[in-house]
Amino acid sequence: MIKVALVGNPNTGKTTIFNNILNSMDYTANYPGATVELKKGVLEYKNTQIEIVDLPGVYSIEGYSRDEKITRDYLLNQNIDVILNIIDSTNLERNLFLSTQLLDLEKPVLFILNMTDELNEKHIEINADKMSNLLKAPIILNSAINMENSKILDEIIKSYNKKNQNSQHILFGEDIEKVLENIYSIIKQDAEIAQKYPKRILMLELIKKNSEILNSLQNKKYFSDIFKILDKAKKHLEIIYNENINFVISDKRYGFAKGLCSEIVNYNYEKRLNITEQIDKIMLNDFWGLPILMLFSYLLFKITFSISEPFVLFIETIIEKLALYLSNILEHTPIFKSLIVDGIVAGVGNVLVFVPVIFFLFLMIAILEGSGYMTRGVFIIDKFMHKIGLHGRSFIPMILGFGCNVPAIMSTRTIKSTNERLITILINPFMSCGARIPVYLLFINTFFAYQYRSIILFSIYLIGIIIGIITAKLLRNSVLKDDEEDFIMELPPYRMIRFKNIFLYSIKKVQIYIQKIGTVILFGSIIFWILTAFPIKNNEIANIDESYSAKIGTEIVPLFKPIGIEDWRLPVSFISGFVAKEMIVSTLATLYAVSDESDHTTFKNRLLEITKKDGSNQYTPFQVIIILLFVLLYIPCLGTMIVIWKETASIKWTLFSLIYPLLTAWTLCFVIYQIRNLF
Amino acid sequence: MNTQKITLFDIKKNYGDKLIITEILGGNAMRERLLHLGIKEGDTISVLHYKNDGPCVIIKNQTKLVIGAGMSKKILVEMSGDSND
Repeated sequence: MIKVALVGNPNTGKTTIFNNILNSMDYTANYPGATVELKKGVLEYKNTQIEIVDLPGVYSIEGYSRDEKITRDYLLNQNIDVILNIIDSTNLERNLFLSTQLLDLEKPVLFILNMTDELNEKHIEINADKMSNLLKAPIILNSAINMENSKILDEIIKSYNKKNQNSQHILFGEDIEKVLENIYSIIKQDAEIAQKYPKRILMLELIKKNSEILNSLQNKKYFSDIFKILDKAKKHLEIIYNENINFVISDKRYGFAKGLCSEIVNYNYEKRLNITEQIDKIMLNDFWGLPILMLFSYLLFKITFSISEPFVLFIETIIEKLALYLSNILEHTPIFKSLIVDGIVAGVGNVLVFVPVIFFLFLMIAILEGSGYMTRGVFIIDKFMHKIGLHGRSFIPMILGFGCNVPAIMSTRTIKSTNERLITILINPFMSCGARIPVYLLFINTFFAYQYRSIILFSIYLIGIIIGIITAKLLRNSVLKDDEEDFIMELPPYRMIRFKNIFLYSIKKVQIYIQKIGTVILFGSIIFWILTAFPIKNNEIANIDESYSAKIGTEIVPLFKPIGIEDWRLPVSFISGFVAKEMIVSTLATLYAVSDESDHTTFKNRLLEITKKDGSNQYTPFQVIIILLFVLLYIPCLGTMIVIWKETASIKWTLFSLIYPLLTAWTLCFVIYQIRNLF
Repeated sequence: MNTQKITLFDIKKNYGDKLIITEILGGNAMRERLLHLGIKEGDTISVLHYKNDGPCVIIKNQTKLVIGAGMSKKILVEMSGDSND
């Protein structure tokens, strides 16, 4: 199998190439740091198996930020056969900097000049043949309109077969080269180390005193000798250049990139403003920028919920009819009927109803991302984020969090400062994710008149954001003090949204959602039905008050009394919500369906008519508000906890992310409930 | 020509006015990071947008960058002699 790594700057169209080659349905996001997981794919081409990995977009592999480190570690430690370097051809010089580093990896590098369709528009000419000669490597011209998939795959196989082709290296000048040779003459005697790293990378990293490599040498006999030599060499070179050696080496790389460009690129600069600049004059305007951002956020929210409404109603009707139909045909087997209708149809169906909302939510987020507007948001909101101790960079994970907190937290990898990244991770669960939507919509649509629904829903989201802001501020002022992130980010050009791409992307998200319903939620519903129906006596399901669910629920409900929650079913559903937030709805649906003796088919009707022992309504609109606030804040789901643990690599902060929201949710609900009781 | 040293943060420029980066303060790590994005001393850049006390958007060749206030306070610039078109 040929192992291929896709490497390139952010916004160079790597993911589009990856998807196109693999025919996969993922879409590309138009901002730095979108490729947060390492996406892999295997395909067979001309009887050869080819594995392709899409690495995070980076400007260098020095390892400054987490995604740079991921890319670097992957390139150094996995046995890659061919490197595909994707280059934005409209921005060759900057892209070539990374290329010079890739050439040092001693692997065949294949250059793909991408976005060649934009060259004409921008009046840029590139002499690709000359470039190929100078770099001694193959070059393929590619664009989204003209995908050269088979050409790329052919070249991969060709490069693989040639294996030890001697690719071009960047020479750093006599002084540095001499030092590098000296170091190598010592280090090459240690075969283990010499073979572990590519020769030039090893020497360069040693001269830069890369701590990772130096640490691995710590136990060697020659460590103190080589350390002295490195020290001397570094000082010597810094005297010659009057400059830090890392900078000198990077500068030489840039010099090479610049020199190469002057040989092969012909710029005919366009004097007039291009479309991106014209749009940005309005979008980034001091006066209009913020109102437009707020308008877009509102539209994101509004369109998600209004367009999906008829679809939701439609699915709701189907599920109602299904429940009725199944109740009728299963009438003679009451326990089985209860499992199917009260357990599965109620549990799964009440979540399935909200699939259209999830679809439109991801569609809207994809439009914001894909068009390039998301990065503008970073610029517009930066000043405000400063006030809460963050930078504009944290804006993107927050928006992504409205979809799902898991990828949102992973997208923080581009944030360099440790403390800022940690804060951005810890406040993310307060951004209300899509999985919480079923809970909100169920309760809001049941208990509030049409004209109030939007404002209540909007307030819920807003409260989540406000709690996030307060938390960020508290953390900044206490344990996670400013560690000064120098915030810098590329502003990509606006790109036309390819509706096919984002449509397919949203479909894929919905597929994942439905999969989750078909597995986690289905399984969970059955578990909670069992807990509710058992112990079964005399071939009859348990009296609800004697069921296992009730036992669990009554044990913990006293903890919720101070916030006005008296029904034991709610705490049980909150526990199930830790697995997945949608479980709150399915558990409640099952719990009420089992206990309901009348023949209501809809969950909503049941909720409206449930009474307490004294005959008053179990749920009042005020109590619903408390429940919604609690669900918004109380706990990240299991998946989110795992990703927090992985990304922070700290048990302490993972526990914090569990306990802090619980306390916050409880305290806020307590205060609201007690204040209300005063009047 | 105005040769007075001023930071990118303090300079309030009109759209597209050309500036030359004279010095990057703030240590080698920051200089190297900027270099990876294609920005170094001696480069000519233009400021496209800025927020008072906030970030700015600059352009160099084909690259547009949002630079936060913390960073733009450490970049010294001077007005370029060329008049803009």
